[in-house]
Amino acid sequence: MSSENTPLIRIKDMSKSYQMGEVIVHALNGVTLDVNPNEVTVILGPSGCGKTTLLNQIGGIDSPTRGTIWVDGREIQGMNQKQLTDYRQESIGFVFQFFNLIPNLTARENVEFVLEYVMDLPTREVHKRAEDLLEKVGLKGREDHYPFQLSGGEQQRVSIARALSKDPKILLADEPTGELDYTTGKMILSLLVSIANEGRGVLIVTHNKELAKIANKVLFLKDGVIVKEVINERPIPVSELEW
Amino acid sequence: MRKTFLKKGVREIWAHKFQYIFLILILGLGVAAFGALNDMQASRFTTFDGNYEDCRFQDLRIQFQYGVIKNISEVAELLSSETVRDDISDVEYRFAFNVFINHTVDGEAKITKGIVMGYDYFDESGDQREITVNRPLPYGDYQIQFGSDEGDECYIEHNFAQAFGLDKGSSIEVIKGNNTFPLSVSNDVAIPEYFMVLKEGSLMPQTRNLGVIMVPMETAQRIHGSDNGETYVNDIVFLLKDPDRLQTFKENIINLFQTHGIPVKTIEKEEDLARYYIKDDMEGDTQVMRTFPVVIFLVSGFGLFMALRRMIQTHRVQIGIFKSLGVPNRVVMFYFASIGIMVAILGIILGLALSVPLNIWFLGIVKTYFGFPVIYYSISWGYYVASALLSLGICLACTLLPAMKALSIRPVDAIQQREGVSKRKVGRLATKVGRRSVLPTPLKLTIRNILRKPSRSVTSILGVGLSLSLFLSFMIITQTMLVMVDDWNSVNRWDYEVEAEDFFYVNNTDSWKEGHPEIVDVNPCIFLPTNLSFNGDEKIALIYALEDIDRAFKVVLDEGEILEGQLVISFYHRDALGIDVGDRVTMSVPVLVPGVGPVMTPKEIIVCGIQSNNLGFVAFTDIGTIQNMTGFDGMANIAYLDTRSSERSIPLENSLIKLPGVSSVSHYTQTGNLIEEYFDLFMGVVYAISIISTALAAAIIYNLFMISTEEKRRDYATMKTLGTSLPRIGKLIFLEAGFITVPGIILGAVGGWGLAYYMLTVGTDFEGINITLSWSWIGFLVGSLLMILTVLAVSLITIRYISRILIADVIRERSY
Repeated sequence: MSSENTPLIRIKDMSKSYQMGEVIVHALNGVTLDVNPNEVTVILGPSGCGKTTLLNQIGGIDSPTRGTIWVDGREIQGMNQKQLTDYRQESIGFVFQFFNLIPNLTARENVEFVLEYVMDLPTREVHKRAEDLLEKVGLKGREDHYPFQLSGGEQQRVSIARALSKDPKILLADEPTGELDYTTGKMILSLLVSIANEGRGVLIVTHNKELAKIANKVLFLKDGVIVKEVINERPIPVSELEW
Repeated sequence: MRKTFLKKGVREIWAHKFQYIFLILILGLGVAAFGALNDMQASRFTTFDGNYEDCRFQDLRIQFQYGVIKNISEVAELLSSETVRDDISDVEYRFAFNVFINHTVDGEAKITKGIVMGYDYFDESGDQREITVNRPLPYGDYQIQFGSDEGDECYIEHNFAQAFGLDKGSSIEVIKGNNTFPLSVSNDVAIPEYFMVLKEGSLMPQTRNLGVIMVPMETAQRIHGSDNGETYVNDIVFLLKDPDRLQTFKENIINLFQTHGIPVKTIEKEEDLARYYIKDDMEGDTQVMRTFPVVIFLVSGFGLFMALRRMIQTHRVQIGIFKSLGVPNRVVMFYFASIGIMVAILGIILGLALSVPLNIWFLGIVKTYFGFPVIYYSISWGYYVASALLSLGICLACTLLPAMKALSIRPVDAIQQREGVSKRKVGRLATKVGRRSVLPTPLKLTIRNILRKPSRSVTSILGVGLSLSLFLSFMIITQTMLVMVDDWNSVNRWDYEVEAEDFFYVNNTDSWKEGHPEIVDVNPCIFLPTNLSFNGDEKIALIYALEDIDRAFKVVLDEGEILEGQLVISFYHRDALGIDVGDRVTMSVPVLVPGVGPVMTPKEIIVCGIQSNNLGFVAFTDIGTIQNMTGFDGMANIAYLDTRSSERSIPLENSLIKLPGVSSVSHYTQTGNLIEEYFDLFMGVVYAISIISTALAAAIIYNLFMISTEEKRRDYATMKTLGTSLPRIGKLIFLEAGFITVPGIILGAVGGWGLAYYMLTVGTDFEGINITLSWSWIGFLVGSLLMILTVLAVSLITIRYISRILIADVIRERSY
């Protein structure tokens, strides 16, 4: 079981290779890292360096070729499909670059979908929690809008509320500001930092070097290898961030 | 650049190979069914012509009347007369007479009326010769051969042999007068005059009531009891050197024989009953046989249009990217056109390939129900070319039209669609804020999926509806036919119909009752095939003049009543000739003129009622009226019997058939079989088409559902990432399938009825038959079940597909 001092994610010597035609692509090679609670961890690297591949391994939507991944004290490689589904249900919250909201459901319903259909909560609780979560991400008054009626930032906030609806210990964010303008991006980052401060581990993968400044830990990924790890003792507040 | 895009087109097809395979299957089935059904109809005509040509069918046949037989040498001498000899190309002398055939049915002795046909199979030197006119044809690879001119071998007419299971080696007895002749069946044979076994005036085949036996001339003489060293003939068939001189030749030959005291009846080629019937049947079927393939092709075309159009619509993002890259519109159009052309070409090739087994299947049906020994295959190239061009047109239309539409929008809008946030995409709903709904989220999601993308849902519903319509329409046609057969049968109140060769005295039937205590009542009838005219228009009418109409038939009157001395016509006559109750109509009847015989004479009669039974051309009156009109006083040519048990009794049939002048005895249960035989080929084709339409339906539904899945794969991948289990996603898929299937089935039921109505009434004209469609619950249930099973199967395939989705790739949609 995790405690304040135990990493929420521990990866040891993990590699991932793909067969692409006749060529074997080593997307990740010997990656070792820890993600702690109460911390924002940023994985930084250029396009194609293996950031998303790494996130997919942690999220249980892909499996590594070699190495071990412990998430919240559980070793996830070797899990069957059902166990992986349960794992994604219980431990992981995903925030996507393209938001991936269900277009035919309103903001509220996107959150309620998870609470009702994934978490199996009673109806009354579903409504209350959805409302609370949307309020928490600053979407009060916009609950009954469809995704196409919301701005990019609002959509990303719905995406975060939806991710939080499962009350996960870990939030995985894949280029969460990639599709957003500067101001909106900063708002989303503030939200992510505040989520980490609630005792969760937040793992952000991005190519935006400026984001490293708000992280407690920064890992530089290049050609599938972590080339540098920097512990940031004094992350700056998001409001001071500029790019 | 075009080459690159052509390669890209091939890759696009390969990437979605299963969807394209089913798309190609839809097209292929349409082309194949369209071609093969037309081939079948063309083959029927070719087979008809081919077989009549193979047998060297007569230009004219003469039959000696009133039992006259003449020595062959005497007839040959007559035919050497200069008035006729130069016109004759070939002549064949036959000796034909009525007999009874004693054979067995289910181990019980059965006596059937038969005809012995003696052929001049041996020349003067004793060698077997070839028959030159109306040559009997073998039903297989054997040769028609007799060991000697006077042996006990015979060949038996194919339809009769089939009806009673008589084949090579079977033994039968031929009864002529008091003599019985055992014969051994060498094989079955197609006798040109009996390619369809019919009797004059009958609308239905008489396969079970007439057995024709082919023997060498001397055997025939022996059976007839004329084996006094002479060779007698009474039936001659001719082929003329110049068929255009037929009428002159006919007049000359009638004069020639009548001058020499031989009464003859002439039958021209086109007057031959079997030939006329088969030709009429084929021509009557032409309309409906053309409608069926058109309907199938239209359904296939529509299915193709819906599926391919939707598949191309999903490429809007690609089009946006092409445009933003500066690819000229014409190249984009070329890319989509190349996909359309490839689908069309592959579909047409598959259609041509599938047409081979389909043709074999259809020709098997034709061979089973069409009494010809050799089936001549005919390919309707024109229809294949037409269907190929139409297919190409449809494929191009449904690739180019959506592509053109996509090209007209801004690239950014097209590209944005990948995020599902394009305002243009959601149209007027863009500003409509959602309301809180009490429905569970999965149900809400499903309903919104359907309502928010109406074109997608409507296409899927249409796909199910159209598929069910096609299947159901043929089941309704089948049911309608079965109900009509039942209707016809239920009209009969009699137990036995006894037909006579000629008119007989009604008084004679008293002895029938005396000799057969099981007969309760004899209801004599004059059956008169004639024409009914009114206001200068004329239509065929089959008049049943009965002693007691009600006792023999359950006549349902639409208007009027049954009155003595007046005529009850059918609704067909009313509609076709515009007759009302009380009108005076004219019918042609044979009036006995002393010293001359019956002469067809027009007689007027008042119409007292209109029957609504589906009896086509049938009209009723009382026997006395016709007896008075014709001079056939106290006579009839049919009798309807009521028996004590109403059950079929072969001993009673055997006894009745041997009564003087009786030509056939049919139990009421047999008439149903005869009607079914009449519809056999039609029904066979309908069943076959039902199976094709099922395959077509499955292919259409599969494709539309797979396209839906493809369109929503991103949503499903997101759900999986959020931790939604596969069974839960499956539940959503089944829920949506239900929402598509239920309205689809309702639409299919309505569409099936409409299609059947079109095919049986608007698209075709069954003269003399009032088609009232009968709903087929079995068809509906089976069809609906098929649709549901197909949808379930496709849903399961979809779930399996979703289980294999690489979530990471779908979520980011990095590549196309």
